[in-house]
Amino acid sequence: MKKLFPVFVFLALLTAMLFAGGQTEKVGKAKITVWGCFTELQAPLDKAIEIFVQENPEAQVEALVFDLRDFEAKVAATAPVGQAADLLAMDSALTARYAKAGILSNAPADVEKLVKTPGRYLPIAPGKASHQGKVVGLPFFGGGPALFYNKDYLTEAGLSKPPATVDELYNYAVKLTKKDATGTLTRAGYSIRLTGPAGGSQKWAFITNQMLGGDFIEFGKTPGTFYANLDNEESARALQWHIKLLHGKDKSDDWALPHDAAGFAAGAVAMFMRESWVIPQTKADGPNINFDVAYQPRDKYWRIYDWLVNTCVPESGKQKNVAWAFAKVMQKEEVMEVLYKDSGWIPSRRDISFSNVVSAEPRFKPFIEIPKDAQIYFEADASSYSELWAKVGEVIQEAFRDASLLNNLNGSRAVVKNANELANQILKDSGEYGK
Amino acid sequence: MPEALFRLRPFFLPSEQSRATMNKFIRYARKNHLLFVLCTLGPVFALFAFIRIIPIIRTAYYSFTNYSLIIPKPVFVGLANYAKMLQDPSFKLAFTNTITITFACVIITLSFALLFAVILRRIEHPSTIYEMIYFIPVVTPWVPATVIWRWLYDPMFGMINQVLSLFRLPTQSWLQNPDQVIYAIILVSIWKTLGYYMIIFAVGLRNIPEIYYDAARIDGANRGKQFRFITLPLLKPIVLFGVIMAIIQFFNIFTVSYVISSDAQGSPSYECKVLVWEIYRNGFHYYKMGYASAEAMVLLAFILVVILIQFKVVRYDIE
Repeated sequence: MKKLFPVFVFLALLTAMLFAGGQTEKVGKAKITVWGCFTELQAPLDKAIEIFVQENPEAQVEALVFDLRDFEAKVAATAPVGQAADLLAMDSALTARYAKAGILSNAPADVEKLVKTPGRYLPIAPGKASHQGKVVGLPFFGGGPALFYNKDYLTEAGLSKPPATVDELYNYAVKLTKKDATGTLTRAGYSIRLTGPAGGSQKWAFITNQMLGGDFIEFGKTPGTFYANLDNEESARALQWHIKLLHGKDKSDDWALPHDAAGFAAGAVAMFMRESWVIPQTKADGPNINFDVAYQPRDKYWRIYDWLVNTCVPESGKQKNVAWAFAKVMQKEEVMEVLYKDSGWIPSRRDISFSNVVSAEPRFKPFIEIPKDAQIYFEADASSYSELWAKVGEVIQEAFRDASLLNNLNGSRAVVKNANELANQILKDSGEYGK
Repeated sequence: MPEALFRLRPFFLPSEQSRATMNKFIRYARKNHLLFVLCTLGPVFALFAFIRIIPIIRTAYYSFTNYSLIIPKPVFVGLANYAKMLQDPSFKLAFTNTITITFACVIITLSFALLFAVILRRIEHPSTIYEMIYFIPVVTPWVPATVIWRWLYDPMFGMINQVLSLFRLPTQSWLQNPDQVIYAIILVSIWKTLGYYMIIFAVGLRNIPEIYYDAARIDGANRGKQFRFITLPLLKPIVLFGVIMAIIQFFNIFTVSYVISSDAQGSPSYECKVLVWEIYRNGFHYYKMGYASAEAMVLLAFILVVILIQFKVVRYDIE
């Protein structure tokens, strides 16, 4: 037995070394870079760096944040040739695309364990951070839309509470619209996304999916295949809903008005739908705007679109373990709190209450306390995701301009049929089409 | 000082023998013209080939493949990308917009640049100050300059709409209306490049001897005739240079279109499609590098054809 003792010691050491290989390691003098997909991520990343450097005084972390489209282009140009940052905060569609191409590394065992811990994230999050059963990212944040409304404008129009249904939203939009003496719109009752095609189709889908009950892109029977689901009455109705608010007697929005969060902060918009980041932005950009947030109105269905951002480590990274260690620090409650309060994005972790943040800013409630009868849904992460949303958005936004489509349901049917064919063609071109 | 010290040669200076060999080589190279050209221009050409020619050849190759940035194993698809381009409404729109912008910008910029250069030639001394003022937009980087214009075009708070309101004219959605955004881009591009071409023309004008004008005046030629029969013919090489440079510059327009009409978080704008942006979007947003390469080849071919035609027509005229 004594003779076998060194063999046992050797085996024990070997086992320890093997396990250590699957864990995030000590950091030492490492230097890593982190890229974020939104500019508002700077504050939470700075907080994470502060904690990380306290824990690892010799480590250096550089965080760079970009606009989403610039981020996408930067990652596309660098990740395939191994020149991207050590850690990337990217949405689940990009995660799927890069994981499929073998560009992202699998998470070490301890990170995988965190992701698979029941109750730690939204139930769908582990799937959105995985590829073929392997975890490739740590869910960081996400969030769906809610209805932002200007309280003063509602009061002025004699409306005591926000609209709860899509029909009410339409009527409110007409009532809240303001025109000058010449009949020119000076305030949008409900601000429709008229430009920026990818975002445009997404915001159109907010209404479509309340009526449709389905998704813009549905999963095919074979894994990895998808098909478009726009060629139907509900999509045509949703298009009519928008066109009536842009042309004719119920006109409630116009291209000449400022739109989106900028328009809301400028007081040129009475209502619009957006994610939670608008709360801190409006407080900063429009300090005099008296606003509140309500749940997204419902129609036949009550479906709230959601999406997720993961932190992922490229396979080519030279400091993968350090990058994963930093990604774990980004999951700490202090960082998540800064993320929530400063950027307004909803942290993915569901095992932290964040009640102090919500009590300090109750307008976050519709984003975090989802009613039981509302269904959260995610769009399918097809690898041609960006092209699909952008090109369908171009068709829809072109139709928005066409006044001849007013009260012309057949015309709207033709538009959604065209958009559907285009989306399916893009899926066919990328080899992902399948019913 | 001891004589031996003079015979010491620093290590970096060639010895008598090596100097003689070098001189022999130079004499041989000078005699043999091709070798001399290769030795002097070779390194420059090698660098040019590395950073220009090879990428163009690779782009041409990728244009016949389905190369994607994230799945870098291109498969040969023949002319499929070019055939698809003919059916692609985005490409057609981008091509039309690019030609419209180029056509408008070249004509307006060069006409005004020539006009201002002629006017400034007449006022002589203060002209340097004016030239400097007109040159300020040229030295301002494209991005900040375009951001300034983005604010000027703002539908509610922009100065342009405020001025229109003063005259009780209807305000415009410069950056949201697809029919207007192209004019917004043309205006910024002209403002940004006018000074450069004005300086080029001013230099050309200064090189025309005053004696020609004196002779014309004696013969009773008015200013219009002086411009038509002296200034314009003698300025033709400069005009040719200006037209070629402007066509290349405006065909490659990207930054102004990207910044002025790109989609910022919370403040979207209408995206005015131009060719380079379409190439960028297909390559880096949709990852279709093969298709983007085909678009780039079409852009290259188009510019080459336009420039060759110009060279043929205008050079012949000059000769």
